[in-house]
Amino acid sequence: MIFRNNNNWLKYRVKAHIKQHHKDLFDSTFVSELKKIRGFITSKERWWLVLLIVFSVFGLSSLLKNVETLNIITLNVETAKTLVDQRTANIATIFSITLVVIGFLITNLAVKSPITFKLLFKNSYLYFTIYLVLSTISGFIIISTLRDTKFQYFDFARAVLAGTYLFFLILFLIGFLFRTLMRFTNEREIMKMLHSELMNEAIINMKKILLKKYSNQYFIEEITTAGGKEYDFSAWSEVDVREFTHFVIEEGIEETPKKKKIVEDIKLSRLKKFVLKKGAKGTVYYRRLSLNFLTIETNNYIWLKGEPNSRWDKFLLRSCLILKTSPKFEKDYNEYRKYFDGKITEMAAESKFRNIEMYLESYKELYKFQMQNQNESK
Amino acid sequence: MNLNDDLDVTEGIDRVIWKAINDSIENKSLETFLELANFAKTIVVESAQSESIRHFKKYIAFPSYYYSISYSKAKVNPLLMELHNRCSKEAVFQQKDFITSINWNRNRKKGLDNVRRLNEFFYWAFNAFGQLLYLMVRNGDSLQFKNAMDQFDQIERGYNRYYDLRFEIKQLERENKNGEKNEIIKAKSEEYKILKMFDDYHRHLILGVRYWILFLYRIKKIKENIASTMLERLKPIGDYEDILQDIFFVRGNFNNYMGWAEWDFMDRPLGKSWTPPDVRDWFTFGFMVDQIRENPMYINEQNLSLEELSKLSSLHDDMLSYGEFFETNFEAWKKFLNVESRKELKLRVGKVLKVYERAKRKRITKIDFLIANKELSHQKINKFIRITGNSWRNQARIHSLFLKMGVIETIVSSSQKLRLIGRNLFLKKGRMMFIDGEHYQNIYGTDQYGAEVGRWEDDEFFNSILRAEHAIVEGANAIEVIEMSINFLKGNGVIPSVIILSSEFSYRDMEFLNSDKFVPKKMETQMGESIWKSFLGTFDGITVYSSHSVLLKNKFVICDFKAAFKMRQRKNDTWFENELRIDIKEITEEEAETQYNSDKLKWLTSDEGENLSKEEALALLRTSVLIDIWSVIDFQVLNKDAYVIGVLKHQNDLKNE
Repeated sequence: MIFRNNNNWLKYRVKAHIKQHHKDLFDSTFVSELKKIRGFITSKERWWLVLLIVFSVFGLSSLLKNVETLNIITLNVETAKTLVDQRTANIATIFSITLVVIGFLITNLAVKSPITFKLLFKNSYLYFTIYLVLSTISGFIIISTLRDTKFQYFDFARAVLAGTYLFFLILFLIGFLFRTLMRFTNEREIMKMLHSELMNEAIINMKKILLKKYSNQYFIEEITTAGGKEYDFSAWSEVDVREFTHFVIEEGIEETPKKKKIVEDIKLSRLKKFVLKKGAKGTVYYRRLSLNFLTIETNNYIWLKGEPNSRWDKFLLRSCLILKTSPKFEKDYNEYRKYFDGKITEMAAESKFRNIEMYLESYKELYKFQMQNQNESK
Repeated sequence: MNLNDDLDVTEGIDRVIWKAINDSIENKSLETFLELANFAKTIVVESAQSESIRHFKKYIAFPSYYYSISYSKAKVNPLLMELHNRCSKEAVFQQKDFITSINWNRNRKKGLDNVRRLNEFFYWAFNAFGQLLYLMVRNGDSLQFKNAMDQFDQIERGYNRYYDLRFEIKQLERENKNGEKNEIIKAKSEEYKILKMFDDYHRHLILGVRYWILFLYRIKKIKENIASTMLERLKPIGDYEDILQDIFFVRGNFNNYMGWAEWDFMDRPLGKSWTPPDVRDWFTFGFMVDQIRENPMYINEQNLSLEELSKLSSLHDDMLSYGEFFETNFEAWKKFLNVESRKELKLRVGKVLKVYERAKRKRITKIDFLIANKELSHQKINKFIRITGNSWRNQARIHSLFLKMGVIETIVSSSQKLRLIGRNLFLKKGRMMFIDGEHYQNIYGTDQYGAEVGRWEDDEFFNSILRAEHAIVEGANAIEVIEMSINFLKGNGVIPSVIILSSEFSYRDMEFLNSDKFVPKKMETQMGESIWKSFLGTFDGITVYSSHSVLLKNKFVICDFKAAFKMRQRKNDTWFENELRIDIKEITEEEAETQYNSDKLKWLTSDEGENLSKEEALALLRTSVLIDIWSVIDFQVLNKDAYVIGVLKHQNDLKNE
């Protein structure tokens, strides 16, 4: 991936172009990196990561005993022995109360639908909090069992102290959880969140659209300046009979049908050289390509009129593409759009004109966003 | 996803809104409807401001949609009538607002490029308004139609934007004596066209709906009183130049301009193919009605281009049939045509048609002028020479025979006079055969000129030898005559080498063809030579040739060719294959003048019997060409004993004797 970060490659060029011309689609680097990390850690699949972090905090607490700056609090082994049970009990109590309250609040959500639950869990870091609590409890249970055991590199008091710090973090997260939950009892607040999700989704989709659009334009521009001609129906009429039979023969020895692949990147510089070289002999035809384009034509998309590509040519053409297989399960990037569509239809059918207004407002924003970003050509 | 898809994150929202509007009307929920309609309106305004034609086009048609569905729902459920009224009102308001809001945009953003871009939005906005009016007409909804027109009349026209420019252009055209201002006139005209577009759309909308109503009345799909009240409101504003341009534009436009091509007067059954009424037809029909109703427009043919004149003359042909239609349906149409009596109608129709007839004639003379002044094309001339020469070569059979026999004497000295065989032709309108471009046209039959000369040469040959003193042998049939002739010659010590007979023997006289002595030509020999066509075969070992000449009818020439005849010929390097002179000369202005003066009366009348001006007559003269095709030869009899003429006596002749 890193070796493709230069102008020889289409994706790099297009991305630079988008960044330059559609600034509003991008957060600052810091914010976007932060969001990325947060999203990664708080995702519901990352229980192992939380567990790892918690255990390493426990582990590191003993290992870093000699770093004097960290030794602000002194804890006796005896005190620690009594503390450890209390802490475990504390967390368990708070956690059980929290779960009850969450349950209660969820039943009183203003808008109850799978998508709001999803949004709630995501925004309140619920998964992360639960994983953290459970990991910490298990950590406490382990160290409390080990209170009479002596290990090298294991300091019992330090581990309890570390657990206490984690406990503070848990308290903070529970507080955040409640605060977020409260917002979900207000419909307007939910609407705001749904709206921002809708717009986020639109930004992701817009980036994809632009990637495809500009990559197509760049591809055509590069190949045409090198002298290539797009192969279309008008080119058909120029094909003479001799050439046509040639093509038929070519088709005959084609291998078995290939699986469709997605174009991940294109090495434009090499393609350009290829076209220039071929162009010296006659008309060069090409078929359109763009990034994220699903195709089976991976080694024969440029050819000299009347002359089928040789094995070497095909190899060269294939080597200009980075391909990936199309994923079996693709993430739905229209989830919120579909939700909004459904809501509007539903409310119109039920004549809820007051609610429909809020959704329509979001759509107006969406249209504005689209219009701002669609300046017709490069 | 296809590469060519216009991708958009709002894709499909319009359909959701569309469906929601439908549901809200169904549920009689006015508030929901207004909320949704307002949304559609915001998108239209927003897209006009952001100049996103894609979204504009998607939403601009919404008002006619509300109108249409609420109407059809109210028709089956009277409870929805009130909502329908509200929907119609909203639709009309919105349609007008769209146009005024783009207008506002237009005033805000200056510059011709902006106007040009906005014109596209205006087009779709007027298109949509027209669609709404069309639906109202179709539903016979004169109440809503009136409301719609009330709103439409509030749209301000943009006359002041280009009014001065128009006079500026006219002024420039007057000053443009030698084409020095062509550039600026072109630029200004382009600007004028762009600035005027708004008013053009405005007028087209009115004309379209107006002529559509007249068409519906013609096919009896609308009642007279409804049609009449609706037409009252549709008064196009524009001068004759505009209207003329409109009719040209519509008749020449095969795209679905303003959606007119889809206008229809009934719901068509699904799954069957049909064609909606032809726009050219109903638009021209409506135009004719207005022409009869008002005074026919004044057309200054002098200012019109040839293309426009062509359009006018095709318009005339269509209008002729409508004139007849009004005469047969006088009673139904007298009100709309504003005529009292049949006599008056006839008079008015005649007056209207006359304008177009004049244009039609003007077109013809204008083309004549163009042809007369167009340079002759060398390519076309050379082509003519080639065709004429080849057809001469094919038919000059005796000439070919002389070539084969090699008894030709080329005469260089000018003191020796030969015969000129050929023609000098004043070919009327012939110039069009020798020019390039759209007015080039071939004249049927001109390719035969060469062949004629070839045959005349044959005639001349037979004439020469028949005139000379010669022996004659008579017989009852071809074989008998030929055999007798051969014997006769052989008796005189001459060995015959050639028999020439009429070409009809090559297919008619079966007795001759089936004779044992006659051996027909074999395909492989001599193929490709020009003599091949006239060579028939051999008779008794003597070669037999045929000729088309009528002088050879019932006659045979049996001869020792080389001993008997000689051809003398003048040659020239510039002629066709050095042998045939073919010249094409244009009629110069002086020559035309002379011709004209020699017979003024003849030239001042066209072929169609119309009177021409002197200028036109001269132009017409100059569309002719002079064509010369000459072969300079003569035939001599060297030895009159070396040939004999066999004559076939018919049964009748034998009886008479």
